[in-house]
Amino acid sequence: MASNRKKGNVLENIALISYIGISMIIPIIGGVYIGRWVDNRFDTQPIFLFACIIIGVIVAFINLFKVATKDVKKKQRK
Amino acid sequence: MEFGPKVIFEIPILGGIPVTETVVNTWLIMLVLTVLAVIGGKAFKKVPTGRQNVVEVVVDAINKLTIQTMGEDKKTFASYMGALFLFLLCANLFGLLGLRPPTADVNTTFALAALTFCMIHFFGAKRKGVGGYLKGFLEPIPFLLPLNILSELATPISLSFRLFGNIVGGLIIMSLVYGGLIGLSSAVGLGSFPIFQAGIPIALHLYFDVFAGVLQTFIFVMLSMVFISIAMD
Repeated sequence: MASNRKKGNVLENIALISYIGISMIIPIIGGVYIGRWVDNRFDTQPIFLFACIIIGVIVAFINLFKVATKDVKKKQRK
Repeated sequence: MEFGPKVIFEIPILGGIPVTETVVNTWLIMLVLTVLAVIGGKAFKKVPTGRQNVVEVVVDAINKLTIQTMGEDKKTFASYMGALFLFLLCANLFGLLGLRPPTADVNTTFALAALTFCMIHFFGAKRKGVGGYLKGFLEPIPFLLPLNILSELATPISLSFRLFGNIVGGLIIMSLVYGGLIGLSSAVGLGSFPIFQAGIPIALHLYFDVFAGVLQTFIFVMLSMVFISIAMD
């Protein structure tokens, strides 16, 4: 049973590792697109682009933090 | 070269709703899975033999994976995860039959990711209570509310685009290779009989359809399980 549990964790962690990369890039690319769209609409060239990219980077790190600390919380509770 | 799904026919209401290859291939997979489910679920015996053994192995494997990943209290999700797994497996391996995989269309993958997204939030709210669940968005400080919402919205997008990107990338490379092999055949004077198309693409099919397809299926199902169980814990 113990080995079974460990095997499950390995597969789960491999899936999560492969998620880290894309979960960081999506908010940043989303920020670029939204920022460019808002800039074109209101004709405020780089302001919203930079603001949205910075928000995207922060969201990317929040995602990374959530994935990375998923098991830490569990251990503390036990 | 055109890589988008072809329109097979149009439903003549509301100015014509186009029905693409994706939808028709999804119907084919639904038909196959339904027939398999009806045949597989018929006349169970106490001591399993033949067909029943195969069905029991599949169901046991899905149940075990769900319990390992999500915990004993969430094993009712095995039905959804099993359906998702079998559908995605058939869809990703559809390229082996020379047909277009339904997952090579962002509409299919985004619909599946949206299902997972709804389940994450519905079951999160159900387990913790709506108030406690919404309070989770204000942690660690209330100022982070919009950023937390954006981070949740990124989940279905990254889930769907990863699967879509892998399958459509394989599809495009495969069709370019097949096109190139036709050119190679006509260069040696066999234009009407493209002999090089036999055998050479097998290695690419093994990688893009079998390896990437099965791996992405597994990762999609695994991440759905992990996110739902994170939201519920």
